[in-house]
Amino acid sequence: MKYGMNFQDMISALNTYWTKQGCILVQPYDVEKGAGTYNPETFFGSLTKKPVSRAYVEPCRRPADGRYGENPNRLGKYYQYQVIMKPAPANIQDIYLNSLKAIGLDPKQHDVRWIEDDWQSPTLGASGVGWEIWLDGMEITQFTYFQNMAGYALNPITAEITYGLERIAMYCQKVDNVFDLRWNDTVTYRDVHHENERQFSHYYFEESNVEHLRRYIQECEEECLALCKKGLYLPAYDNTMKLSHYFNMLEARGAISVSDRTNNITKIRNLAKACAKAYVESVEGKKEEAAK
Amino acid sequence: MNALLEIGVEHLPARFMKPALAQLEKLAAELLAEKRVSYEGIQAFGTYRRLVVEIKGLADKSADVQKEVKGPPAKLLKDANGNFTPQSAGFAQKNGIAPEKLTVVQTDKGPFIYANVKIKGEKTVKLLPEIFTRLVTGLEFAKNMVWEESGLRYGRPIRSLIGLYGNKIIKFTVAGVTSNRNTYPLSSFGRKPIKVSTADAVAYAELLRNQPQPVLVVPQERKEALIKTVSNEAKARGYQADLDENLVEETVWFTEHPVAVSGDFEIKFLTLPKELITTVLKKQIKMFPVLNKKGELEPYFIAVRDGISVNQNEVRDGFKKVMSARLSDAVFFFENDKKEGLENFKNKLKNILFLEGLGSMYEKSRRTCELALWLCDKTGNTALKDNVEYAASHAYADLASHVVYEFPELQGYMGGQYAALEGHKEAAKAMEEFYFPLTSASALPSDIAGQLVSLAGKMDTLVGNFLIGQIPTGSEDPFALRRQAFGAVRILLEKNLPVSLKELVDKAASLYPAGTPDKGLKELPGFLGARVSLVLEQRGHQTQVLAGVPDWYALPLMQVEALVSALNTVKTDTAFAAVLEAAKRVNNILKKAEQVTAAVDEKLFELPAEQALVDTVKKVENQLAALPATTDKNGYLARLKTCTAFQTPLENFFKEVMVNAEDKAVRQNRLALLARVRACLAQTGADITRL
Repeated sequence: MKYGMNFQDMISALNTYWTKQGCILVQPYDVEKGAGTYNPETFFGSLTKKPVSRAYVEPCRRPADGRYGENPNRLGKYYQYQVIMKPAPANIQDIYLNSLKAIGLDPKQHDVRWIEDDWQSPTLGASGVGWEIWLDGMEITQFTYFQNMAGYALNPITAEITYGLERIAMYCQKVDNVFDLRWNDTVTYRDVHHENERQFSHYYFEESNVEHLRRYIQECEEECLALCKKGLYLPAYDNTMKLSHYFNMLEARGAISVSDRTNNITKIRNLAKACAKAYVESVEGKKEEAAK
Repeated sequence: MNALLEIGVEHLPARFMKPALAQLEKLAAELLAEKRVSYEGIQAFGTYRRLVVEIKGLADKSADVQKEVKGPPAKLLKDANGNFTPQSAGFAQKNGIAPEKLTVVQTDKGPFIYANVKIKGEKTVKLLPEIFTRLVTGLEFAKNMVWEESGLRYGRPIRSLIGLYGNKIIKFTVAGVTSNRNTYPLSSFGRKPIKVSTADAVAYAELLRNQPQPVLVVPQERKEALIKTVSNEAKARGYQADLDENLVEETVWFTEHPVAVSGDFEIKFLTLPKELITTVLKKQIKMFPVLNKKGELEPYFIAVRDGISVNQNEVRDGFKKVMSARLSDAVFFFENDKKEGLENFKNKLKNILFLEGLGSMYEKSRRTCELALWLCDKTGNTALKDNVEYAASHAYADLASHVVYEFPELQGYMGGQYAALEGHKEAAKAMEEFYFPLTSASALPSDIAGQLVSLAGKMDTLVGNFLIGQIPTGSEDPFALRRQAFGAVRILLEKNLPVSLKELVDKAASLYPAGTPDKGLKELPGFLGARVSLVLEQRGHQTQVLAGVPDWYALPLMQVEALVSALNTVKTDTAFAAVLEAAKRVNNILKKAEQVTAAVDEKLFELPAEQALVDTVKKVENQLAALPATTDKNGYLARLKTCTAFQTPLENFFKEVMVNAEDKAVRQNRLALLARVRACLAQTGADITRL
């Protein structure tokens, strides 16, 4: 018996649903990152007054979570579906609940619970208030009203909805192993990603060159700060994301001590702040010019 | 007429709920007092999505008041021509009265103009918009957020407001939401408004209860429904539910209509330690465990969902899957821990900091072990040394285990489990109960080895924190030092350990490396003294008499308790009360005297009262010497009672004898006599002059 939607159909259904809600559908950003929140659409999008509504799939890399493709629930790279809406509509909770219907999960037929969970990202200098959403006891979504980003107190407020796509698909398709997910009618998640998981686990845990990684981190930091000074906040921010990924790789390699870890987190946060500052100044600068 | 306010919010955290409802009642009373509107009663209730307050029997209008308003000095009332000055006329106008109505009143600072202002009551219906607005915005939450442009800070977004007075809508707007009479269904069941016709708590609760998807808006009703639904699920399987109080409370505040769903789990999970399974269930996924008559776990779970649906089996399967995944994780951690073993964990403690500047947990284990072994000697438990040594040196090892990393509340318990699995069954209990008592009134470690190890750990923690000056102040006690001190005192007292707090603190401090800076150890005796008083109180003693036991710190606490108890008994005796007053006088006289010679010379007596007193002194000295030197209550009581013999002789002495006689020799002799009395009193063990 075939349960639930195919993985790719679920993504299509979410795309269709959120397009109807007025979101611009953007494509994944092509730099490695640990979570959809890092995508520049969300990072910069949340910072200024102008309305922003975006929906996108985001591949997320978590080097330390890789298990050589041998664990049924753990992946070193997986997909988030990310929605941001600013200002957050008054009926955003209902909009979200209806999105579950669009992927075959009628909230009326399940137990949907909103459990207090305030999100924060020490590396982005960001925090928000919200919930993790449990469907029949399983965490399927993080729902957050951003309050701060890169140290800026936000107004208007962005609502961020992050779906864990594999988890939801496993629940709908009633499979216990993520690699058994149907991508479409003939191809499985295993076919598409298993070799990737295996190779990248070897790379992250055994083969990555610690000296190189430390050098990349150094270079990314220099490049980011130089670009910020010139107001080129977008490529500067790319370097922040890359640095963050290299840091995660060092951690997976076990090459980070406790004090190292704190220092690097502070470093990334400072770079994120520098990018945000360059962006906000540029937007405000343009406004002033327009006023003249 | 009644008024009703409902604040419709997005799901508030369960922990915000009780404080919010308490504030609603208090704020409503304050606002109504400020507005001078009388009422019969206020009650707040609700769920995590609706905060409700009903005000019963509101007066139609607020009370009239008269007020004396002070104005300018009296000389400004009228000018030379007898006309009102601009100042007095302006003052009258400002207060809405004619200048002729102004009066002059004498004050401390001379005569002043006063206006007698009458403030008329206003219609309640006109006051309610402000009252409701301030009720909504006046709530404070443990953590706040912003979600819309007004920038109101609140626990979660406000999405609807009901303001009713009788059956009339009271219009007001907060954070862009305007009040009406609409409430809404359970959160997964859409936003079709449910109209509330009138301000009546009972009718409102009934309206919500009778929806196709009921909402039980009254917390007590919800709690009863929860206990019933969970119990029924367990009963249907022939068992009972573990109705954990905290979980019941939390569940009441994050459901609007609790409905139990139960299922089973694989029997293989029951090989996990019981507390590990119940912690996963209760804390991680908020489910109730199922127990048989013997209190053992059965392989079932009871989850609570919010509301009912057509798809109950699928919901149950979902819960089952989640629970199974979480228990599988627990198995993974537990098996890895078993493989690694306590010895490895103990070594890993070298990397875990105890306190800034005071080394690692490994060193703390070593000190705890030494102190516990010293306690074995002090308490005559040398036979226990092997177990005590193992338990104390491994008591903190589980802090480096995977399970305790995931579930910090299982510290101690897991150490005990691993010790038992590694064949240290005797020490296991002591390790399991190392952190006991977990609350002020809960059980102490059950065996003597456990008590000594637990006491050693607590004393080392207290001494360490005080050494670095980390001393609890006011409500700040992040390391729960008060609880630990309370536990240590309870062990000493309830287990009759023949060790004083002073010996313990000195020994514990001596185990810290030489040269450890001391920023506040001198504060520790006072801190412990406050706990001693509280524990004695908990054990039913009046503790004012503790003042009469100046040696409490240097005496074993069971002796302190015996003495306190004896003092409380003898205190009611009238002869003792009289001696007590006289003893204070003796003490004062001796304190003022420059010098007291040692011996009493009976030849220097001038009055019979002197001879009578010395006779009593001799008698009491002999009696005290004959009494057994016991330190139980009866021993102390016997000595205290012996001293009541001083009542009449001391009374007569002070009536007839002037101590400060002209003749120096006579004076000295009298002082010497009083010093002998004082010496007798001191033999009671108490300093009764401090009572």
